[in-house]
Parts: sequence; structure tokens; C-alpha cells
Amino acid sequence: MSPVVPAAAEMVDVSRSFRGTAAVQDMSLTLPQDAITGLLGRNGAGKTTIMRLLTGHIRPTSGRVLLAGLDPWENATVLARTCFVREGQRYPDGMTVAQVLRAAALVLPGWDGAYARDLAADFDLPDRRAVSKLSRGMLSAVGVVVGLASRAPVTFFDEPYLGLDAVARQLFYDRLLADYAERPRTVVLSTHLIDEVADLLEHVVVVDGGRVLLDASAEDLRGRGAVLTGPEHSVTSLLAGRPVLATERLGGTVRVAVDWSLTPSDVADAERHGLGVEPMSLQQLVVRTSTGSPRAGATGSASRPDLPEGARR
Amino acid sequence: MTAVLDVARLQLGAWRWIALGWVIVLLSFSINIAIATLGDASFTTGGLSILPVFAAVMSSALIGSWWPFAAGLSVTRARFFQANLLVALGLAAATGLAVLLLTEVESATGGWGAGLVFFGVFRPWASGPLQEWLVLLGAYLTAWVVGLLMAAVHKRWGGTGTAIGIGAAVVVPGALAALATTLELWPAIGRWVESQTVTGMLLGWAVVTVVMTGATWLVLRRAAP
Repeated sequence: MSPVVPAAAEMVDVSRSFRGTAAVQDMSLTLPQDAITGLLGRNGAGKTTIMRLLTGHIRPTSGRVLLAGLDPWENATVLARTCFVREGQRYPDGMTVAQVLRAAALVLPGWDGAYARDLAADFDLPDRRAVSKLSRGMLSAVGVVVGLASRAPVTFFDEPYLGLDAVARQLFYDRLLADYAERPRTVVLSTHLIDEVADLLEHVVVVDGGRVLLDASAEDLRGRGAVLTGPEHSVTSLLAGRPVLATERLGGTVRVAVDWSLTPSDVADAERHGLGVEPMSLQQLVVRTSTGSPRAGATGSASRPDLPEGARR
Repeated sequence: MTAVLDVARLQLGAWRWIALGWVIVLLSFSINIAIATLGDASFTTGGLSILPVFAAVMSSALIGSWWPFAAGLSVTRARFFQANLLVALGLAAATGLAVLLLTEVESATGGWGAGLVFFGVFRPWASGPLQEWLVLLGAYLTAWVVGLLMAAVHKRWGGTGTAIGIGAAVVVPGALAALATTLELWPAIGRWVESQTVTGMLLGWAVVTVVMTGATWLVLRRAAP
């Protein structure tokens, strides 16, 4: 069990609809302070809506949103502690990279201009080019520079790496980790590239269909879940009714993704039964959890997992 | 206050619209000077109206693309709006002053030596430079707020909302005019307008602009950037 850490942001029974369609439903979650949280989920899961709610861009239809314990809606003091780098962030027509950085310097209290210039050089951002003329990857890099150099106590990155090549993504992860180590702060990162950021994350929130499927520390999740492969009868006897995320069959062989931590005796038992045991990656866990969620429908033999108390909301 | 000033400085980054307005005004002025020099009769032209038009363009651009940008940098709606009005007041005052100075030059040179009235279009109605400056400032501010209101409606209710808004802005006055015609009210309206003082008209105009500003805020405060 992870130690209790103070909350940087909280949502309590929050729902938000757009023209009658629920983007977030009865959601309660807590983002730990001074930690890197991964907000994971499929397209349309509600990740951007959560970030927009937490940064006061939109109001909840019902429920309470708290940032540093206060409602962020039109609260200049609370919002001054945040920076929200949106996927598809709009920049004014004709604004150059240098002008974006100057504008950020004007209004972000923690802005570090030297660090921003340093980052812009690392990402090869052309100072005088209009942001509207940048490639998708460079546009993302502008957001990354603004988000990192804001040094905001709570920084939200919504799909920050879209269009960034592997080298630039690694650069982002490296710079984020290095800066975070020097100046711990709350970073919330929504992403599809789960395996790539898995080592970066300290906390993981998985959402789907506007609901939280999983809210746990990365440490708790790392030891959790495994994939067992072998003859069906052997797997069934080892499972003994314990939670299963997904089952694939090929002839008499089954491959079962399970949502429980295997003890050394479980592993020994499995091997004695002639079963293959592999750890489950965070990405697999998220995919299995999401595809078993009510939105996707429990298709095939995948079944809704019975997650341990405290991990599921 | 410092924070509002910083956000105002941020919004002044959209100065290109103002510059573009002045470039077109000066182009129009050059063409009119050429026509006036070639012709014999003195004349008045409406080229100056380009300045308020560009004020409206700038204010809608500020809501359309500068506000979402500022919101990402955690600027609240209220602070953005206050700073926006500050920018509007500053620009209106400065533009009014610049036009007033150019009007003085125009008067002193007998309409640029060619009998052209380009900048001093409000002079015949105004009693003194202060009132003339207020009329110029008021026209600029009203145009600014019209741009703000339209952009805010678009942000909040999208293309449909804008279409309904513009439709209402055309249909409602049209219907009132038709009603006035049916009831044969125009002579009375004409007499009422003639009986008003310039100061009275200015005050009425100011009230309309303030009401539109308030309406813009009501629309904007629930809109998403």
C-alpha cells in the first residue's frame, strides 16, 4: 500500500455533459501532489475533459473540482499555480515561437526564460517562425517547452508528444525527469504511448467512457497482473475463480491475462503445471482493463475484472 | 492591477490589426487626396470608418484565438476581459487623439490644399475638440465591443448561435422600423432626434455600449476557451 500523499487536485462525484452526452460521469479521483501522474485511456475516454475541468476551462455539470483544495473556476490565485498544455492548443495567427515564449513570460509567475531558450534550442525550434507554419511535431514541442519552463506547481500535458519523433519524445522524457528531480512538482500527463512513459509515472489513472477504471500508484501496478499460457485445464485449476482480464484460445492452449499479483509460490505452482508465466506490462493492463469496461462491452471471452479494493473507483 | 497590465501587454501582441487598419486608411487617404487634387469641388469621405472596422476585427481575434492561448497560460476570464477593456480604452483614446491631430492639420491646410474632409468628419456636429475626441473614442469603443460580443457569442454557441445573433440584429431593428412606418412614427422620431443635444446623444450611445459590454461579459463568463 502506498503512503497517503497530499492531493494536488481532486474531483468529487463530478459529471460533465456536452449537449446531453456525458463526457465524465460521477467521477471521483485524487491526483497526488509532487508526483507524475499518467492519465491513460482511449480516445474519447474523457482525459481532456478532466484536464479542462481541473484547470477551470469548463465547469462540472455536477460535483466538485478542487485544485490545491480550492475551486479553480475563475480563481486567479489557484490558476497561477497551473499550466495547461492542450493537445491542439490554438496560437494567435502570425505569432512566432519567440513571441509565444515572451507571452508566457508575461503571465506565468514561475516562468524560467533561460530554461525555455535552452529547451527551444534542444528541440530545434526556429525562433522567428510563425507557430501556424510549424509541423505537428514542432507544434507539440512548443507546448512541451511552455509546459516545462512554466515550472508551474501543477502542470497538465494533454497528449504532449503528438507528432514528435522518437528522439524528441525521449528528449521530452529526459528533460521532464531531470527537471522534476530538481524541482518536484505535480505533472499530469495524458498519453497513448503507455509503455514508453511507464517508467516515468508514479501514479496511474485509467479512464474509459467517462469513468475511472483504475486509480493506483504505479508501484502497486507494476507487480500486478500476469499472463499465463498453457493447457486449458491446467490454467483453470490454477486460476481457481480468481479475476481474469482476458482469455485467448488457440486449440487446447489458452492465454489468460490475470489481474492479481503472483507470489513466488504461484509462479512455482504455475511452472509445475507446465504453464508459461509472463509479467503484464502497464500498457497490457490498461488495454485489458479498458477493453473489459462497459463502454467497449465484454466481447469474446474478455470479462470485466474484479479489481482489488482501493484500486478501482 | 499589475497582473491585468501584463495580460493587457499580452493582448497588445495583436497590434498588427491596428497597423493594418492604419495602412488601409492611409491608402484610402492617398487615393482621396489624388481625386480631390484632380477635381475642383471639396468633398467629405468615409475612409476613416476603416479604423473602427479593424478595431472590431482585432477584438474578435482577441477572443477567438488569443483567449484560448491565454487560458492555457492560466489567465482567468475576468482578468482577460478586464485587460481587454483596458486595451480598448487605450487604443480608442490614442486613435481619437491621432485623428484629432490629423483633423487639426486638415483644417489648417484647407483640407490638405484640396478641400478634402477625410479626418474631420465629425467636426460639423461637435462643439469643441473634447466632444469631437469623445465621439471618435466612442465610435471606436462601440465597434470594439460589437466585435467582442460577436466573437463571444461564437465561442459560446458556435456558428448557429452567431447566425441567430446576426439574424436577430438584422430582423429586430427591421421589424421596429416596419412598425414605425405602419404607425407613421417617423416624423415624430425625426423631431425627437433633432431635439437631442450632442451630449445627450453621446450619453445614450455610451449607455448602449456599456450594456453591450455587460452582455459580452455575461456570454463570455460561461464560455469555454
